[in-house]
Amino acid sequence: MTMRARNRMIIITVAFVVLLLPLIPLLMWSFATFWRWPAIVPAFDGGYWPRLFSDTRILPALRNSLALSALVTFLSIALGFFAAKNLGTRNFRGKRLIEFSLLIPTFVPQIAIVFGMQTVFMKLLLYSNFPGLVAAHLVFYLPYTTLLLAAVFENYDTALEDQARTLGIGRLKTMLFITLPAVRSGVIVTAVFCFIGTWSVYLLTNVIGDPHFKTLPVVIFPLVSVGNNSYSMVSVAIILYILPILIILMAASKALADSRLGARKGAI
Amino acid sequence: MTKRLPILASFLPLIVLMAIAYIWPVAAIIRGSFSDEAGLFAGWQNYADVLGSYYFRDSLWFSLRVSLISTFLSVALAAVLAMALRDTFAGKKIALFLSQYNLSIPRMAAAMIMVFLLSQTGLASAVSHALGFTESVGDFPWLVYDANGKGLIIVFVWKFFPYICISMLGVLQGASLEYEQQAATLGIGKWRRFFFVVLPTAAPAIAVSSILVFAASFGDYEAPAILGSAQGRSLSVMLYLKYVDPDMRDRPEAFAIMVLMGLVLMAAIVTCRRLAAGGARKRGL
Amino acid sequence: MGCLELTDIVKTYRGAAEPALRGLNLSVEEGEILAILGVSGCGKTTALKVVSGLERQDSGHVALGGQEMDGLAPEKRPIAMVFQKSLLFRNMTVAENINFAPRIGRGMGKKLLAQKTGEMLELMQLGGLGGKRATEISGGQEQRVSLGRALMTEPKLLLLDEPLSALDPGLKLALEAHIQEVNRKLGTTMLYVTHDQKEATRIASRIALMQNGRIVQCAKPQDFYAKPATKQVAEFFGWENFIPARKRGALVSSPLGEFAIEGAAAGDGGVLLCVRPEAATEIGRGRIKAVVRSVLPQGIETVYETDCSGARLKLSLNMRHSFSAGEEIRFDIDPQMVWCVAADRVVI
Repeated sequence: MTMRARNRMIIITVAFVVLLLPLIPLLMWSFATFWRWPAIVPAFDGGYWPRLFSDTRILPALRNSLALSALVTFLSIALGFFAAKNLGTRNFRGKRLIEFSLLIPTFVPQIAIVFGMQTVFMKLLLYSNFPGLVAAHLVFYLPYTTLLLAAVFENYDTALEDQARTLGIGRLKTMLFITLPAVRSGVIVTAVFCFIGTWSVYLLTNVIGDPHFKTLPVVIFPLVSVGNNSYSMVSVAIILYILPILIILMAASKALADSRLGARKGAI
Repeated sequence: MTKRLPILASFLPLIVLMAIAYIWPVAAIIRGSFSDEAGLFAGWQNYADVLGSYYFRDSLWFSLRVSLISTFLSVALAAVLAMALRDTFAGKKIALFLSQYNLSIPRMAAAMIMVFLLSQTGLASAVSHALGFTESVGDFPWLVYDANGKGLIIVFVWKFFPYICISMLGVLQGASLEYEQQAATLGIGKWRRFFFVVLPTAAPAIAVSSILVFAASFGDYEAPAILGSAQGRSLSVMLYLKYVDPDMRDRPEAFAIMVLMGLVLMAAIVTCRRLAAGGARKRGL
Repeated sequence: MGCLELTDIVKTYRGAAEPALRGLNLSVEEGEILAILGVSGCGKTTALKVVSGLERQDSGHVALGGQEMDGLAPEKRPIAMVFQKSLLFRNMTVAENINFAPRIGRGMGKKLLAQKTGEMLELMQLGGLGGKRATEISGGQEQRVSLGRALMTEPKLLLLDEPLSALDPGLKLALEAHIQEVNRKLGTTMLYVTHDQKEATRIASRIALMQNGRIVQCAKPQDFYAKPATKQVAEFFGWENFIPARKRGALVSSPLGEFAIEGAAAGDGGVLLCVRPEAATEIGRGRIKAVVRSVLPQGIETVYETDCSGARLKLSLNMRHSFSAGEEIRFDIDPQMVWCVAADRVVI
């Protein structure tokens, strides 16, 4: 019935190594300015870290990324909450059509739509400015958030609200003390996935975005794609790009384990 | 009867945003795909040009091949890992952690991480030299930046296989277990149980997550832009280059490629929903 | 020689505070249907899992037809099992489910396979349904398919884990009869787990009553009603009154009078006299007197809680008689409806 314990341990160990090993050269590069083949370990001289604070691009971009992702996440949840609740708890005409349309921006790659958005956003004066950037992110992450939240609400029983209302609790208080606590971990997980999603966006920000508001991926991409040889700087930037995500995942680990969403669509 | 929030009002922000910022752009793209450089109606000409072009067919084939191989390898590795994790006490937690951690690393970062590890002057090459497997930089296989997309496949598999693993684990630790016990008491051995009981039970879950992985790798721009820069063979990179070309003559074709790409992915969504609904029906929901 | 012998089986699940089986001993005869009866959580399903090999016991032995089964994988044991859920493979037809084991496991020849499948479909009263998908048939049919699928392995022992508990009462009776018929026709030894004493009584040739991970009594069904081994067994089978009494030889003296009880399940000294609530006869005329304390109407019968020379006695009388609280009832006790068990002791 069960796999032999030894084989099982081997497979799990290999999986861990495969998944975590690639981070080693990244970490080593960040602390070494030079690393010439065939040295297995570079000469550690602190790499780009000491110069990070005099760098004019990376830290501001990190701050911009955090601000943009936080804002988009907040707006997505605020604007999608009631739509998700209706999708998850009620049946109505057109529900399947809405669910289907919400999948499209999530599935169809951004490259296939971004240039169409560019022309339209130019006409709407939403091109090359901050509101346009936020709107462009919302186009993809509001539907995504709504879908994830709708799945949260599928396991939510509105009878709880009816019970509270029959006990004389008002609409707002019911919402604050009944609905929100009941879906709390689902909302946290949705927020985490939404944040990670917007955090990874490069193309959209680059094409539509504000030239004075550069996010981390927009700063990193030209550094890596031209075969730039300042690998130490790239590594530092990438570590700063990954780190916030890991911190958020750790912080939300309890909600992630609680929520059924944890095993769902993930942050694809 | 309590008065619930009107349905239409709750969808208003979504509908307005999507109409202006998604449907309109889609319409603009479709219109562009039927127009020439001057904006005049061109019929199916752009599609004919694109489909007749060797470069397009090569890129389409390349992208399809890379994403299909990535999906297949992810499923195979995920199956092995899921079978190993299923009986462990902490298995679910381990898989959940790994899948969330890997999925969350942006593709741009994942691609660059693989460059550091697997390029001909990367760490793997240096280790291979130290162990005496390779003599010079050129002896180490061309894993990233290669014309066949090996590096891309490595990045996608690395990023996505824990995700498929977690969706399989849900089935393997649930419904499948009872059926396997039933088959075992009927005298069916381990391997046959895997092929005749486990795989058919897990098939809907595998199919849905595979399509998600296929879509995500097929439409990706960052990883191929970083790892295949010299060739530009991936469909998304080709599309990008065609569109941003200062000459602007290729733009109508670029629009046609966008429409075709969208159609491939729409087909994926429809299949995915069919399978998911079928899976739910079979489970008696 | 017995078909299945279980000796001193102990099993504690990982992480569980209490063992699920605490020294289980059981012997199943060739060709019989033996029912393991017990409330949920008593360990009866665990017992089946140990016999089938799905769970490994911590100590003790499982032997089938004199052969040790310990350490053998479930697929290597000539034992098949029918679960509470029918667990039909949904991607297959009814016939493919029935012949699953010989088709996938042994690679039986096509012609023989078709013939055996046809025979089994007939025996399971599923003629004509072979081509249907497993998802298209009713609950009762599903369980027949599951049974047929297990029998296709020609098992030396068939385990049934509450196979009928999800079915409606009428269907349940029909399938019970069907299982008995299969048992007669094929001679397959069956170990049948259930929590329903009436079902066990109807279907089994013998019942093993299980409590707290061990068998407390194993006997013919009627013996449980007439001669329960302990107070708990008696309670399980509808005995209600347990009156402290003294026993000497066959004679038991109690506040209700003296009774001659042969083969009682207690030694001499302080015992419990068991009286079924239906035991009262000669109402209004008998020698025994009791005062009604409370009246509990239960439809066609009425239960009276009475005080009988200091002992509390519950009597169930039919509606021809009517008494109210404080009244005195005179009656006799039907000697067939009394029994005697050992006085309460702490049961682990």
